[in-house]
Amino acid sequence: MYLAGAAQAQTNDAAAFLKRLSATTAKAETLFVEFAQERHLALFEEPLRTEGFLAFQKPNSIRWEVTKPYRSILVCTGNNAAQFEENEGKWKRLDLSYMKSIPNFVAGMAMFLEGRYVERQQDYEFSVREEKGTVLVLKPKQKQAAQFIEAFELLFGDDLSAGARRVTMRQPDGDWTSINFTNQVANKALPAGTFDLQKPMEIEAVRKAVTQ
Amino acid sequence: MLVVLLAGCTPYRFGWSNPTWVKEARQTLSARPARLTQRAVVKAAGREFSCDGVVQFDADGGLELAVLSPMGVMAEVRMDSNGVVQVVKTAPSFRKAWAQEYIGTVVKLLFPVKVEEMATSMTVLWRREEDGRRWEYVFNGRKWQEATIRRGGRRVWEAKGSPELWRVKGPGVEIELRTVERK
Repeated sequence: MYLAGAAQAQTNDAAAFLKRLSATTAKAETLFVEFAQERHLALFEEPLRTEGFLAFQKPNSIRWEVTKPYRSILVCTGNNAAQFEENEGKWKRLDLSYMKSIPNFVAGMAMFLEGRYVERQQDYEFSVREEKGTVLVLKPKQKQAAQFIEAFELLFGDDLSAGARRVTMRQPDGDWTSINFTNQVANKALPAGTFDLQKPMEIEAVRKAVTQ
Repeated sequence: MLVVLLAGCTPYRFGWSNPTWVKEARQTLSARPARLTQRAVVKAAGREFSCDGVVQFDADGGLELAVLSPMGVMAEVRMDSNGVVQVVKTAPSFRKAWAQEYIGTVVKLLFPVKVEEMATSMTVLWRREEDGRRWEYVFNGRKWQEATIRRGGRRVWEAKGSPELWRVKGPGVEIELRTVERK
């Protein structure tokens, strides 16, 4: 009885938080943010770290660029995508093998970045908890998705318009990945070349354009 | 007297006139950091994808390798100090048999174990017979630059380059491996 009551209260908390989140983050037309990703695998004592930048422009343009310890760019706009790998100072465009999954990937990322979680209530169970901010927890309802992901945890600060400060992906086997976002810039026009599928603009030039 | 310490290993002892080379070759093959991160571009069936390979070397000569895609772990394998590869886990969408055959083979190709057992000619540094396959590690001068696996005399796998940039070819697959971090 008590547990059922607690669960209902948590559901209500989550619903209220989602409503606030949706109203705030949906206003962001563009986003530019630095990220530091750490993968914690049971196999290794130390986490595996990568760093880079994420750029997003409504409705469906995304750029995920790793700058350390190697350089790699993934650009998606709508149903199209391109990936580039740097080798000895030169960029090489890959002939991608996963084009079919791109629209789903872009739609999922856009949903996260725009705070439109409510749309996925049939796919995820939502809850919230307080932990140096508000943590929104998404657990997949479908068995197939639960094979890959146990939960997404998104940490938000007081300013919800700034988006999630940290995203943690927990896998069923105990491994987990956390992505910390810093130096976020919202609603600054991104240069046209940011999402160019043939020759994306250098990330340093993009960063300068949005931070000046 | 020829001593074969490693079961299945075929040693050669002829024409090795410069013991300094032997020493340097051993050092090159056995010089391993605690951890190595490689970036791989894999070409298969006319398509390409990238992944990270993270190798952790054990003090006893074995290693653990995780192959990671942007979406998570594709496979984890362990190789013991005798070169026996075990697939620890694979992603639900990734076939375990594929991991055993392809990832296991590439690991053994690039990170030979028991190199202290080598005894060879001027070019072929180390050979090993296993499962009907012959593994050869070749030095040209003082640099390890080629590793091949032959079956029935035919070359089925080869790795050329250096520990910094390997180009690996196998049945239906080409892999370019760049070392991006050593710890």
